[in-house]
Amino acid sequence: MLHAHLPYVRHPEYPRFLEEMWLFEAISETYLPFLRMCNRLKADAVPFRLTVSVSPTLSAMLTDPLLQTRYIEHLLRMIDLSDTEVRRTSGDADFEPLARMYAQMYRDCLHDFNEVYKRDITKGFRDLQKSGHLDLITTAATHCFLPLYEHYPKAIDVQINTAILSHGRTFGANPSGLWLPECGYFPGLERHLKRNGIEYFFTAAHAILFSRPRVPYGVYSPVSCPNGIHAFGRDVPSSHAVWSSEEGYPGDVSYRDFYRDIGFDLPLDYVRRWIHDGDIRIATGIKYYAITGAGGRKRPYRTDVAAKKVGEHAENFIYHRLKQVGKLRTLMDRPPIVVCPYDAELFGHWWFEGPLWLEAVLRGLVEHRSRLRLVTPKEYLEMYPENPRAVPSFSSWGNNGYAEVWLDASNDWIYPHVHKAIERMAELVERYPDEDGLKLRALNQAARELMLSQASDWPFIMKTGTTVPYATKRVKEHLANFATIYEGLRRNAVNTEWLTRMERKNNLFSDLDYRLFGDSQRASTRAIRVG
Amino acid sequence: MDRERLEILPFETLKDIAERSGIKPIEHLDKKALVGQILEALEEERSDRECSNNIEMLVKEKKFELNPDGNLGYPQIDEPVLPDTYGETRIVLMLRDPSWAFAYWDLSEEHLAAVVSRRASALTLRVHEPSEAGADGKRFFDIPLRSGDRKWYVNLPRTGRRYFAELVLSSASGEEPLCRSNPVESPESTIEDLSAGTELDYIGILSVAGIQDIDESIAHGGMPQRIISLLDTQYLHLKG
Repeated sequence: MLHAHLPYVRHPEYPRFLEEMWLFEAISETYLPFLRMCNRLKADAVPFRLTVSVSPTLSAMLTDPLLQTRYIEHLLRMIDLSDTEVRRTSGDADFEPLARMYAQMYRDCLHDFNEVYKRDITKGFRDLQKSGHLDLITTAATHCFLPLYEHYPKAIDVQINTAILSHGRTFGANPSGLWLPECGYFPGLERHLKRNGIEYFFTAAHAILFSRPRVPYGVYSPVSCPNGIHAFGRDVPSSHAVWSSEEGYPGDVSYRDFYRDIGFDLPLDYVRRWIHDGDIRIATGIKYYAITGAGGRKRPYRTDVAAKKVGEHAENFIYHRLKQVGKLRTLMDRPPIVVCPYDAELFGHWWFEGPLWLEAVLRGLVEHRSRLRLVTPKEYLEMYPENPRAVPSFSSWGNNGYAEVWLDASNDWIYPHVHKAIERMAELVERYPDEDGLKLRALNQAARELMLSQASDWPFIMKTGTTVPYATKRVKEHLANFATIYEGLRRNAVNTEWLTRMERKNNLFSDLDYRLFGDSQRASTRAIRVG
Repeated sequence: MDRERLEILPFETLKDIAERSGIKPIEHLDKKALVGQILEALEEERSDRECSNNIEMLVKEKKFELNPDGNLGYPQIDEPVLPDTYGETRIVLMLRDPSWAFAYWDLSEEHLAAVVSRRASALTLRVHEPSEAGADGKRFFDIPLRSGDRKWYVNLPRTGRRYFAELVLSSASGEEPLCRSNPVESPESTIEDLSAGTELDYIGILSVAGIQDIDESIAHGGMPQRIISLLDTQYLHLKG
């Protein structure tokens, strides 16, 4: 399964904003190629079933008109850059074909985005769901690392409930499963999921391996939690074959090198025009070299060589899965399920050839259908509704398997403030159990700001050190906005103009009901069924 | 890399960046040498990060990486200031992993004044491990705090146990517990009941799941954390 997620990044207060590039790159390099791949397979009548989680913040951005417009502007810049590159590399047997490839790639993106999807690529996912190829599920509303909010159950409920409503609104059906952000699970979390209609979720391998009691099939069957909903544990060997640059496929010497980007390689004077802030070098997405291997100069990338490798790696993956499943059949009294979840952005963005590999695997699986086939968790549960019962362990797929990535000297300062804001939100619900008009808007916006401060992406970035100042500023701003509304409501003086500005800027989750943060009876009777 | 960009920055800014990167400013370094030192420090930092992050985290990081040194480009102005205190005495305990919890606390004005007015070792973080047998037989250990401390990473002595924390104020007249945290329960990070008698089928399944040398480990009795380490560290470094 694929988990597609980006944190909510939208800055209408600037004409362009650097971190909005995260979205644009992912659309060009991951989401559009993925949709193209699915549609090629569909056109060729290749049977496949994939579970795809699209996070609520990602779908909010994909359906936002401002960001849609900015993506097109970005594409036009990229087409301009790649056309300039075609001219610059004219006559060069190694690089001109590559420059042409990029020029075509960005044009294809523009065509797909504008003509095929009419700027809203969620339509592509919806169509594939309708045709029965994709099972769409969701994740926590702002991708909150839930174990660190274990003692704030209302906050968890809001994350799940908001996500399901948002998903239903975007994709037209309620999700049956949930991707836990970072596979962050703690015993008891399933209660929140079940009351929101979720039937299954995904965990790290050791959630199952360390379960109490031990389960006979390990991760190769789902586990039934005490409340009856199911946990699917990740299979690590199949994951690592795809993730790993050392031992797995993406590091192959003939694949495209992620780091050799013309944004860093070419003279600043030349690339300056397309780089966001003329002085900071950033990646453009145009890369000409193959990984090549240690020592010596990098070789130019060759699409034909890479394509051949893709075929070999797809065969290799299928071969190992068949071997794995063959072995498991001798050890188990029922067909095993091998759960292979990946961050969607691995395919295409990090591993350029990823989408082609995935397509080759899906095509290659057809001939082995009697021994190995793609299935969704929901389908497996329909075949095997009774499963070993256990309590999975607290776990995640982060470093060392628990919470240390998101709770560390670099980011622990966040939690006292966010937890306090959650308590204050509950206080607001108690004081204003049933508001309308301006107060309702303020309360819902407070809830929005609070949720945006909870995104696991911010502590993740602080820990891994990519754009720490931006992540820090985001957390602080959302908390400060929350505080402004909180203080304003206490004094009965909320600045309408400021509130409107905040609503227009952080404008996601139109269904959000602030009352879910408290004990108000009115909130709990809200239906989550979507027609 | 950002050598170009570093070289066009004024010397004072470079010194500031050097300080932020943890380089001790050496006054007689010229600009070129300082740029070199900064680049080295950044490289070391990046390499350290890569060593500690597993491949899922390393790959995830790529979707946020527009520039290998993204931190350099950011002005430090205009960041809201969050309050140092909310003026309320409370303590929260968060579970980090089977062996570590994170405690943070806040003090009311009154309690803070009481702490400050006493000698330095007046405040203690008391970590309780209530026994499962019943109300009797309380077990706890103390961590002495300084008046300015507001958080602590607590090493949990045993897995599979409940813990909670208290802030205790000591004075001439005795001890006064100021507040108590929520409980946390440290998970067992082991495969249950894995022993020499474990059925071969299960050992086979674990082997397919990537856990290879089980027999050896069974002989040594249990595998705390080894599984995660095994799964995690098989593929540690990304080519950079």
